[in-house]
Amino acid sequence: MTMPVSELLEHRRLLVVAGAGGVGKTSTAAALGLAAAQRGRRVGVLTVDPAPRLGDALGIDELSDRAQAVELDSIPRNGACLHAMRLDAKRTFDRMVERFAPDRDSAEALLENPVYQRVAGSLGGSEHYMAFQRLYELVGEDDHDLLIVDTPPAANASELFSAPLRLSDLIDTGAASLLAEPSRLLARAGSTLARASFALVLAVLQRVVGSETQRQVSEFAEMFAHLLEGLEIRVREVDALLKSPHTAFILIARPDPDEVDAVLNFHAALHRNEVKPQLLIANRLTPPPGHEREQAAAQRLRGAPRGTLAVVEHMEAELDSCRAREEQALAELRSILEPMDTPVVAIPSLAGDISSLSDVETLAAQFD
Amino acid sequence: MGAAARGSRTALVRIHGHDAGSRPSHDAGHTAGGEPSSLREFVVDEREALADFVTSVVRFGFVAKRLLDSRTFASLAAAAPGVKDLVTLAAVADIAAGKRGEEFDLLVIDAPASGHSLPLLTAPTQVAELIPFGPVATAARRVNEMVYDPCLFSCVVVAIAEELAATEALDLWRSLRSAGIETSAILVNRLLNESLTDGQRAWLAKKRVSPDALYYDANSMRQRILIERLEEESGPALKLPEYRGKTAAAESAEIAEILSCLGKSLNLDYS
Repeated sequence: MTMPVSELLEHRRLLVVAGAGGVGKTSTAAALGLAAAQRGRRVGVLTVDPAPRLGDALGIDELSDRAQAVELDSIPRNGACLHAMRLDAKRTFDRMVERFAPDRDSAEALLENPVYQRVAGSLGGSEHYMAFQRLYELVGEDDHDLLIVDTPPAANASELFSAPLRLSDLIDTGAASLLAEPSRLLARAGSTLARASFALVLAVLQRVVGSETQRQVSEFAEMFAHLLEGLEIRVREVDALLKSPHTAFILIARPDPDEVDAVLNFHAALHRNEVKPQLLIANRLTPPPGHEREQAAAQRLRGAPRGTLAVVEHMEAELDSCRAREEQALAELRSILEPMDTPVVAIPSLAGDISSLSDVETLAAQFD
Repeated sequence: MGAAARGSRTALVRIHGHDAGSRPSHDAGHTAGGEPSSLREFVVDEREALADFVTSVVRFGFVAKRLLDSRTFASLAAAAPGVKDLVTLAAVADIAAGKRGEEFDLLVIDAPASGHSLPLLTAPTQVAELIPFGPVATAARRVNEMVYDPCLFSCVVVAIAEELAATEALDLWRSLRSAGIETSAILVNRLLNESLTDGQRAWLAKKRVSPDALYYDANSMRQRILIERLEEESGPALKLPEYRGKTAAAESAEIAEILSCLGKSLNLDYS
């Protein structure tokens, strides 16, 4: 049977690796990248993790916003490559300002605005959004056949998708221009009663934030409002990119019965956002027992140091219990997700943590 | 549960409802004797916290409602950095101050995942820098009086003994300390509770009779190395064993027992 991941590695343009924290997203993204590069593709892996994990695993001292090459003999020398980068949300936002400001002076004024400097990179909880935004930039640069984004840990898919929606909402509601010129709120009000209550709302807003802050925010909002048209287009473009047939979402999860509901909720929420996950990787499965287990422990351990039988029996029983739980979780996930065209692939746990290039190669070999 | 079982008025506060959805607050838990404990549970929902906060500032109910119903306000509140975190912590401060109709001796806050905890706890400072006057600034100061008082507030960083989780735990530990927020200990969860002696390990490796035991032992050894790394920086870590397969009640009871012993070393004298 062809590994379902092969099609994704060989033909897709973008892979979005998503899941909760601690399930192995970063190492899986690195391994997927390497597996694709070994198939001859030019691959870029973007991590949003500020910790040096991806860099460490790929043998790069310090990851930055710009692509850095991973040197490996197993990558064919026919133009294939593996690059790694780390998201810098603030710089990505700065580039959006430079791109969409009406002129250079406006861009500089906004970049220097104290309110912008405080909120850039976190506006709308935008780490998730900026990851997609950076991905969009990278697609435009056309240096890679395949881009893989290792998304921030998200407990649920709505967290992943709500940032672009929040930014989009901010644009749709005209909130920025209202902040820049609050009196517009009054002009919008239809009736006398509505005008009176909006006047009260404005007074309250001024009381809440203070007049000096309101002035600073107004200046920021006025400058920011000039970007909105461009941003609105970009929000739509990023959304279209994520829903394009060239993009695939890969969910990573631990095969644990306690986590099944959370995984199914994540999957369902992606569907609600019109994204169909192409694959679920059930990560870090306990390795299967060896054939020697057919023999009773007492027989196998004859002649072993004192106390070995008890400790080995306990350890084997614990691992059997883990396997049973993992099987249960896998069966449940497969029975629900595979009829919905999301294949479930189980990847066994490696002997240790993924901390070096050879560990990443071992993990990548699982996708052959 | 350990504190509540000893008669301390305790509240478990789940932030963002990240584990409990929008479950309403309720009494939770029982003492070892089976009688109801004095443990209460609150789920702080950020939307409700925002509504409470706006209502408390605006005072005129219909104006607050108009503001809260406005899509413009909702989009601004959702996009503005730190606002949700500030109102969430303000709700916690209200519970701590007994403004929810009950007084508590101890609040245990189940905070969001490590990457979100520092932004949550430092949001009031950032909001106060942006908005230095008015009710928002007052709320931020009130929250900070709680968060930055080491006699009132301390963080226990919880991690499982895996490379990524341990690195994140250490990052959070360092960040909290450099932000001036009191930290008590790192708690390492889901520890494997068996390991082989050197002689057993060598014998099993030579005879190749139980790869399972060697696999288990290798994981156990790796956990110990990670704990040593954590302890170099944080001092003695609190350790909890793996509870996979046990019922939630059995797990809670055992954890409560272990924590009640360890609590003394943390100066969490809630008896």
